[in-house]
Amino acid sequence: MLKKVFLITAFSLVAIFIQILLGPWMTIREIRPDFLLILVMFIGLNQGKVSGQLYGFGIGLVADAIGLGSFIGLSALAKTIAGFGAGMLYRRRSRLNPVLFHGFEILIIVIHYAIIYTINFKGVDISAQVMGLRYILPSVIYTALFYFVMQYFIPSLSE
Amino acid sequence: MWLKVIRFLIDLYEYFLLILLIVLSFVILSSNNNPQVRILQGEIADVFAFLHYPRVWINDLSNLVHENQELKEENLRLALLNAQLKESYLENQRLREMLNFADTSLLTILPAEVINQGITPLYNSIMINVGNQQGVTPNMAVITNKGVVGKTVSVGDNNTLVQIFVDVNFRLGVKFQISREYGIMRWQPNGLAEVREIPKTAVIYPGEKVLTSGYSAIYPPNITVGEVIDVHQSANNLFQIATVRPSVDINSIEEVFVVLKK
Repeated sequence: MLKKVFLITAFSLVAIFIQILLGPWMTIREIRPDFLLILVMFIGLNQGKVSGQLYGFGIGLVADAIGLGSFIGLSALAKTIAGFGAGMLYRRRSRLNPVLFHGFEILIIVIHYAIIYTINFKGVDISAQVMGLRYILPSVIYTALFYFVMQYFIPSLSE
Repeated sequence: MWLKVIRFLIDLYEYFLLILLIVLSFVILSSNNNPQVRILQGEIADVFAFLHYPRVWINDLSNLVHENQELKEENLRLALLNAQLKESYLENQRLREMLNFADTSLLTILPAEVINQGITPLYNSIMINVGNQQGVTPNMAVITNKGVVGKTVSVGDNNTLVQIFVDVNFRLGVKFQISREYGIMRWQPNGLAEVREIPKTAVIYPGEKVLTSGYSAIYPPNITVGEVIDVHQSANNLFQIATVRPSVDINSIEEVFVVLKK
């Protein structure tokens, strides 16, 4: 249990550092991958709904507090839901159709960014289509790309 | 039963935790002072506004009886006020007309208010609020700006009984404005007056004005009495009879003038 906590803390610190150091460098037209979200999803997949949402809430608050998010509480909200969603896939990899499984993973990332951008753009004169095509979709693709690459290279993360 | 419910709730603890964390996130989020968060708060308040409806509905319901009572009282108060205002308006109109009449009349007249109607069975009468002390004596003409009303019969210190023209014993010497014929007018039970003993050769026109003749010791000349509405032959075929509609509606008079001096 302690080892697990230590491991998760270590991964969290690594993810935060990557996000802080590499995030700006990897930004393409305001779009960047969210390594913390990737970590939340891995934890949800490996530990279940409770751990996933609790971790999502905690790391989201940390991210908001250190300035990785926008408003305090927003990342916590989005990552709590993402962690819960990922937790719903806990131990279902072998039971679910792979397409459906990955589709569900992508859906979780979509929901995460939809929450982030919808609240971020409150009061801004921007249509849902523009928001979806200009911000949500590129962010989903960028983060999902890293998510699936990391899954491929470190399969134990998703087991 | 309760055990099942508790077990069911325990089975859903993951979902309760999710709701708790989401609510907690919103609470933290609402601590921000950004415009985006303010807009979001407004939208959330809109969504959950329906939760207030039952409370508002119950409050409304409990206030309904009291509110209804208050509205009824208000309605009654306004109805009374409205009637009072209408009355004041009509009185104002009448007084304006009378004031105009008093200014233009060459007669010495005394304004009076009708305070009662028909207190004696002897004749049709009205009671007015002037008497000896104001210079009123018996057998003075009582008129309005529209025409003749009657004559004073019993005079007290401050009140006077007036015999009005609808009394069966009332007679009035009149003349027709165009044909210049004279006659005696008396009231008929059919609600109209008649002028009899008009010579057969006289030409009386329906619509013609009927005025006081001026041969009376009581009534000044040329005061309007009424209007001819019909002329027909008498039973013996020797005279004509003119039916006259009086110009004064005796049922609605409230203010009159007593002619003190012709």
